[in-house]
Amino acid sequence: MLRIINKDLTLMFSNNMQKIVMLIIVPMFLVIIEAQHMDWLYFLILVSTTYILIMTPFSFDITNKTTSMINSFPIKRKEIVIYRYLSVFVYILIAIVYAGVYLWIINKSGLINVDYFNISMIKRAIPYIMMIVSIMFPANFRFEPRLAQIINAFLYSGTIVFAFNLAQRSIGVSSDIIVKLLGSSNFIIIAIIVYILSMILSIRLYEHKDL
Amino acid sequence: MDYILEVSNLRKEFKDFTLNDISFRLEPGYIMGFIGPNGAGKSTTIKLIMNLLKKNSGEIKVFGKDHIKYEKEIKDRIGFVYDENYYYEDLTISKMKNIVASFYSKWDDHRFNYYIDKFDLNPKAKIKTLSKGMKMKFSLAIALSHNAELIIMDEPTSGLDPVFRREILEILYDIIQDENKSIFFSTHITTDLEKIADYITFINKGEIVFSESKDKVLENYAIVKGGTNLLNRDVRKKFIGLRETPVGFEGLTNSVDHMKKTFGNQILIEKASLEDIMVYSVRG
Repeated sequence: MLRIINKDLTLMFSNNMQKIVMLIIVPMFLVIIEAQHMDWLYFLILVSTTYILIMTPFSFDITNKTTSMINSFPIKRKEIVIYRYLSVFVYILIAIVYAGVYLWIINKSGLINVDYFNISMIKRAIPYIMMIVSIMFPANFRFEPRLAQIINAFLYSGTIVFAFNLAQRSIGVSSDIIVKLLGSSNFIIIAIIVYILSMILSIRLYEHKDL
Repeated sequence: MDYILEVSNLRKEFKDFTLNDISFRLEPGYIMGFIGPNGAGKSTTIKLIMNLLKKNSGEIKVFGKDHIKYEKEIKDRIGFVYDENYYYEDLTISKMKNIVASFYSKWDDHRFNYYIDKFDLNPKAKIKTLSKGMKMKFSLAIALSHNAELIIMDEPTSGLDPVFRREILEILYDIIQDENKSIFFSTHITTDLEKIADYITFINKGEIVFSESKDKVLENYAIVKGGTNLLNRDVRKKFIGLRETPVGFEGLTNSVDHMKKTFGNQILIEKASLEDIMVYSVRG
């Protein structure tokens, strides 16, 4: 798994565009959202940062011919899929640290009072990311790059709109049915089950795919 | 006999192309040239060997082992060079090497550095700044730096200048001095193979035309030239490919003895090159 993560991070930080995206993503959300609920803004930043960390190198491999190279190395397709699913948790951790440090600096500078570590939002973000990944990964392992990218874009847009809406809403957040669902312990269990099923499906799809 | 690569009745069906139950074998210590026109099935066969495509039927054994069951172990012992650059363009040679090295159990940094020096590559150069020839050299350096016993190359010399092509061939010739190593080398530039290949496997329209030692191939086939008055229906059948002009004919045959016996001094028999064999076989 470390080999895949090492590859992904090396790739990510060798591309100037990606470095810029990572650098501006946190302040961008702070600037464009007139947040009423800083906890949901934190949720949005966390989910977005994790999404970028997960999807940039992954979609790079899917859309470029590097897939042929990776699969010519001594590694089984099953391992590639399992490592991808496991690496999500490493990326969540990196995102928590990265966003936390970034937001802490912003907080200390006195520019804006914003959450930089919110355990209840992390608890909501993890199963939420798992659910997104559970749809995104099989789509990327199965479909042609163009279709997979459309699915990625829809899922990400949906995520942004949803969290954006919650962060900006002045009232009624706590009564929102989706918010209630995200906070329930059942959602975590559902997310784990869906995640495992998604991984099994991705293994099946990828093992039989012509690259 | 233990073969380093054994392909038996391999079949892969696409909508508009079928690799039709192909078979061939490669012994340790030899170079096999895999020739055929574009679209004949060379890259498909290589992708099937590397398990990048899923076969419909047939068997592929590498180092005597099933290529899927022992995939990891087998790929650890294979060096590959593909026709296109499949590396990350934004990375430097050095960073890309670090990624690749982590996948192989027998990665040899000294050897990699030796090839980087030999090929005059700058480890700090980004892959996207390299010319096609330099990218090919980099691929070759990677393929040769983890003690691979089988080197699989898909059109490594296409698009390269003759000087660099010759350089690659010399490197391959050096590798093959180790009798435990073999090279499977697909190309449509047949002159490259005439210099170094021990065996030739010719594929056309998804079917193997022949898979034999190069010497035997060049011995069996010949170009016959003569007057058109010699051609009749039976004689035409003896040609694999035939080209007629108002003044005479020129054709490829593998019935050299029959031709000599029938026409004696009326015809001119010349050695056929691999290119002749390929062109006449494809055109008919």
